[in-house]
Formats: sequence, C-alpha cells, structure tokens
Amino acid sequence: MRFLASQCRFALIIASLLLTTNTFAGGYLSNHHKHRLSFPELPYISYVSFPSASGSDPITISAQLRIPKGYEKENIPAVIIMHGSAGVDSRGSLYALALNKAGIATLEVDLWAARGWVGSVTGRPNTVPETVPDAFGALKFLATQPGVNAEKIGLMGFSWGGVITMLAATTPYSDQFGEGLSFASHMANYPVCWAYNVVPGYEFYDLTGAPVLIQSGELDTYQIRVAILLVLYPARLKAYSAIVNTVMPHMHGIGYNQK
Amino acid sequence: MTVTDPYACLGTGCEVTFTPNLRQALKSERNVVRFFRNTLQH
Repeated sequence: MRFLASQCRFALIIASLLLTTNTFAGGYLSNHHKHRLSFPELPYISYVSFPSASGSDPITISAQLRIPKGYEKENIPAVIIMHGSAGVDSRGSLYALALNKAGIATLEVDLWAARGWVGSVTGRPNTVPETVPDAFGALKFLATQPGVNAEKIGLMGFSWGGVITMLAATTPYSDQFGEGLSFASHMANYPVCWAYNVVPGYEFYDLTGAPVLIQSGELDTYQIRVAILLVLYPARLKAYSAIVNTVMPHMHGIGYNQK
Repeated sequence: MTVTDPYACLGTGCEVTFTPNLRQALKSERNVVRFFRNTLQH
C-alpha cells in the first residue's frame, strides 16, 4: 500500500514537471515568435571626476557621463544636470535618457558626495552660490572631452540645481568661474524664484545672453515671484526675450517630475 | 512626501509637499528635449 502511494506521488511529480516545462517552453516560444523583444540602445556610461572651478584649493566633483551610441565620431552637444537638495535621484535620469535618445550627451553631477553628504535637506551648504563653481568645473571638463562640442553645452537643474542654473546665466558668475567658457543655454526646474534680486548673491540681471527656460508649478510656494521677477526687471535683462517661463498648471509643490 | 524646508514659503520656511505627476513629468521632459534641441543642435 505504501509502495503504491509512493509510486503515485512519483508519477504525479513527473506529470506536473512535464506539464510545467511544456507550458513554459510553449509560452516562451510563442511569445518569442509573436513579439521580438527590443531594448533601447544604452549610451556609453562612465563615472568621472573633475575639479570644481572654486579657486586655489578646489574640491573634486564626481559625475556620470553618458555619450549616446552612434554619435562617437561626431561633435555632439551636451547638457550638464544638477540635482536638487535631496541629491542625485530619479529626476536626472528621466531627462538624461530622453536627451541621450535625442543625440545629446549628459553629465549628471553629484554635488553632495564631494562634501561628504548622501543628500538631505539638513546638512547642505548654507547658500547655493557656494556650489556654482561646480557647474563651471563640469563645463570645463566637458569642453575638453573628445566628441563634445565645447560651444554647445547646456545646463539644467532641479530646485537647488535650478538656482545654480539661473545664477550661471549671469555675467558676474560666468566671468568669475568660466575662464572664457559659458553655457549655451539654461533650463531651470522650480528654481526658488522668490530669492532673486532679494537675497544678496542671487542677483538675476546682467545675463550672458544665452536662452533660459524656467519650468515651475502654478501653485508652488517657492515660485510665486517668477512672474514678478520677469516684469520688474525687463530693462536690466539683456536676454529678456530669450527667457521662457513654462508654468505647470495646478501643480502644488516642487518635484512634479520626481518618481 | 512632505519635508520642512527653510527656503519654502518665500524664505520663511514651511512644510512642502512633493507631488509626483507622471503626465506633467513627461510633458516637462518633452519641453526640455525640444528646448535643448532648438538651442544646441541648430
């Protein structure tokens, strides 16, 4: 009786194994024939470091460099991506992937690692201008990379990085840290617009003339002055006509593009 | 996600709510690619 039971159990195990294997293989093969899997071609990704443009004793900044495949022999444009207060997160890669697909190289900078932070609201530098030289360090690094067009390097950022993006568009910062190089265009996501021309060091006039795109949420308490900023200072903005302000309707907070 | 940020509420500091929105993120992504295509690739 016991022998019969163990035989039955053995037969059941063999049958279920065969059934599973067949179903799996059949399913895989039929799916394989129906839908050929295709993966987007990933760019060449490397982790690099370069000195900040902060003067005699610069800190070493690290970043992720992505060169799209198929453009290796061309002189392609590039965009430097600066993170927000929380450090490198999903926002940077969202834009990096799309820009790489469009044939634009990206350099996503980590401002906090060089300063020994992992990224949080507390513990960051006291002011954004302290980190502006890092963006110009990245610009100098990219400008020397083979295959990158030194005259077509843009800058974008989120929140803290957005403020860096705005300040780098002004002549005082560009002249101080650029050493003859400047950004070709600027794209700032929710760059704390109330602070400009109010807080010392955040002057937003005397611009380099490069186009600036600002994106912010309509109901965002950081950005309430964005319209006022553009209305109050048109005479002092050299590139006023180049500034585009895109407001995301009905968005409350910053980070609408954060996963 | 809600955090207290001294830079929020015109610098007086307050609680800020991060509200992810996939539709707005994709719209923003398209805007950004178009902007850099126009300004860097012409």
